[in-house]
Amino acid sequence: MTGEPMAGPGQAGPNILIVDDSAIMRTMIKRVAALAGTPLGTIFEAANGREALAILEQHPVQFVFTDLAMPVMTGTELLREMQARDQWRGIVRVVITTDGSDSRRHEADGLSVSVYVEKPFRPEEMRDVLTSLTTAR
Amino acid sequence: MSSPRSPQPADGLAALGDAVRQVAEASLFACAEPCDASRTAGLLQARPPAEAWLTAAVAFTGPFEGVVRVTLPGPLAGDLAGAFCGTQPDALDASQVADFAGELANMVCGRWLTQTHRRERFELAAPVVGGTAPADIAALTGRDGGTLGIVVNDAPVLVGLTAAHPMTGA
Repeated sequence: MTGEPMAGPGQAGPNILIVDDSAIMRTMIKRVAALAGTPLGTIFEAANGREALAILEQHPVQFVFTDLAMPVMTGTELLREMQARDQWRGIVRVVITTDGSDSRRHEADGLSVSVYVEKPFRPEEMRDVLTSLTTAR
Repeated sequence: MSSPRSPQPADGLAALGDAVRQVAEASLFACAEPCDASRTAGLLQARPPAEAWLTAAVAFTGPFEGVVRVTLPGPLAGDLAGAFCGTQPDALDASQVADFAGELANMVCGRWLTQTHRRERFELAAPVVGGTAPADIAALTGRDGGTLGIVVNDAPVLVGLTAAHPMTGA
């Protein structure tokens, strides 16, 4: 579990939690997010849903970007846990996954997922997602 | 209502090749195109004989089950991993390159299943990544039509598909 401040002094931006069992995928998403040109706060990382919950318990997070298929606790299980807690109701949920099946998308709709991103994605797709989410805040 | 038919090797490989191309273009800033057996053999022969190769395998279950394998030269894996996370290849260690190879196979398998069987639900297992001896590489291309050669940035990548027919026998 790591948290890397992205904003300089005086800059405000959302804190993001990236959840993926692949460390290199987390690195890629973090890099793309940093290059998106939108102000960001601290970027936290977790390798599975359980680590993500521990981070959410301890730190304010505005956006969660999560994979679905992960060991220990899946992204779907994480989203269900978040759904069950009032204090996390305002967190924006973004799914980033290789599974673009109709059933997964439908399931995500029922778990308050705002954006569903299919891997592989182009960097500009993530830029557009971040821009739309930060503009909407 | 008929059961989903597990893919015949030719159908599956062609679609897998397209998935590799999409992954390469979207996330790796690389050019990828399928090549025939003759060109694949030529590309393999041109590689250094003692070169290390990686194979990443992703097993999937659902209406039918199988395994997708991506086999590529170690140096190419390093280059693509660097492109993927925006760093120089020599800044990555072996475990990071292996992680990338697993994620590559994961994206190829997931993209293939999403595009060809979007209405079905599959579960993908965590990738398994290991070394492949150069002597075993040529044997991969001889597997009963279940392997496709793809050239990525002028280097050979082998994509294999093993799909089991469902118990209902469609």
